Amino acid sequence: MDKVVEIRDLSYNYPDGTPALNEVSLDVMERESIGIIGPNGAGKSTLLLHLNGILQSKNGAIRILDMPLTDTNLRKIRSKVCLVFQDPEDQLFMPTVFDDVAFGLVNLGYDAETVREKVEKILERVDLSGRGNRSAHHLSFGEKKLVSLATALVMEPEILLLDEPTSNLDRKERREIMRFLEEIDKTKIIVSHDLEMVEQLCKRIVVMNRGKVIFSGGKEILKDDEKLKGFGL
Amino acid sequence: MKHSFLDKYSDLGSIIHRLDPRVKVIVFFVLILVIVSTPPQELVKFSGYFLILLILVLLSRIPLSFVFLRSLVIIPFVLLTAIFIPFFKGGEVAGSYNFLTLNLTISNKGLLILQNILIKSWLSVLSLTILTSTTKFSSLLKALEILKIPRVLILIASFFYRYMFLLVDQIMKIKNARDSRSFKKSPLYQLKIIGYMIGELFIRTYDRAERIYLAMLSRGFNGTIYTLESFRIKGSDLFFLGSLAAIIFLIRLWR
Repeated sequence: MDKVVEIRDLSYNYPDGTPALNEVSLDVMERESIGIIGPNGAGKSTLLLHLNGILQSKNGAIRILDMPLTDTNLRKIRSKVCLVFQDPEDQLFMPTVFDDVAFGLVNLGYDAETVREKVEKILERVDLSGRGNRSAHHLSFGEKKLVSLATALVMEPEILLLDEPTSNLDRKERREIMRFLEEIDKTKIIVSHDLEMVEQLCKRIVVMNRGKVIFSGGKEILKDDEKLKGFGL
Repeated sequence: MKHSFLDKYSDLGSIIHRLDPRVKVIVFFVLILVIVSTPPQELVKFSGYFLILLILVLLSRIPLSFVFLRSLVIIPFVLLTAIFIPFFKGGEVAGSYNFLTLNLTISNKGLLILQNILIKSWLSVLSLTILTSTTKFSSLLKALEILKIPRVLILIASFFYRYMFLLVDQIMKIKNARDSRSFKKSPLYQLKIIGYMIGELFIRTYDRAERIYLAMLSRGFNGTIYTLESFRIKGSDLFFLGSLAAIIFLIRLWR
């Protein structure tokens, strides 16, 4: 198996000086699914934002698919690494669902026919075919979450970064999203408070607290309540 | 919470709805230009334009009351700016009134201008109402884009359309939160709270804009938004364009 993500001693302070990441090192293998858990403010989402170069830190190094994460590689990396934000209202910004799903593809330079084909296919997969010309505003929250996923998946990324994919969903919607995520045979890095979901979808668990990785290992840890409490969870 | 007050009847599917959005934009633009350029005393011609608009509304199957009520929203603004014209325009006096020491005179010329402004603005807004309620907002934006309206304007409108509803939701939520905790009814205190609410909304909107930008970057955004064009002109579009333009110009140029 190849190493697809390599993070070395990554530190990052927010513009106001608050430290967010503190010498984080992490390797992710191809097709591995990793669950990153930890208390609020541990730096989980900040770490995700570094992995497709939205945030860039001078301290530490990141290699994605054997490319150093630099401005020259940024476009290439963003076409391979897709980030799905927690709030679908942020992820879906175009006037129609179709335009939203097509956004990434069009930016990648696909021709109109291919874009249309790919968008139709992915909308079918999330059971929303025929609803492409609606405004995202008219979808239910669960549907918005699914479309958010679709906007990233349609770009066929190698690595999928998911920020709280199951937050605020009802049981049925959560089940659908999880079934959908399970089917995706890609490298997945999932940040979540939903430990059940993480247990079902991820092979490896990474625990973060105060900007540090304090644990990395098998999912037995999720059963060890005392230890989790010790991690601040 | 669901709203659809902007393009409420835009998915009815009548003949007018099915026309190519570009054709509709052009036709209504021409119609408005013609309306505005018609001399003010030609009331018959204005009635002609009104008749055309009426037929379009009937063809589109949108409730008449909806179109007319909506078209009236502009009237207060027009009145506010134009109501004083008859008092200040010189010329033939139509009537004069004395209030204490104030002497007000109304001129015929001024009245004509007022009537002109009212009729033209109302007919124009009526045209736009028909355009926007027979066309989906997203199609309208795409049509404008193809017709070379500056992209920045279209983007602003597009984001506005997408997030306006969210903003309204947020205002309602904040208002509910306030109402469930606020007991003091003094107006000054209420004003202060409204000030906080506006500030809160501004911060939330700003934060959201930042996050949306990040989401755009994540999907390869590099400064220009490209969308797929998906309109095709049909025979019926050309027929509509041709016949309506002919009728409009006929009315305008007929002596």
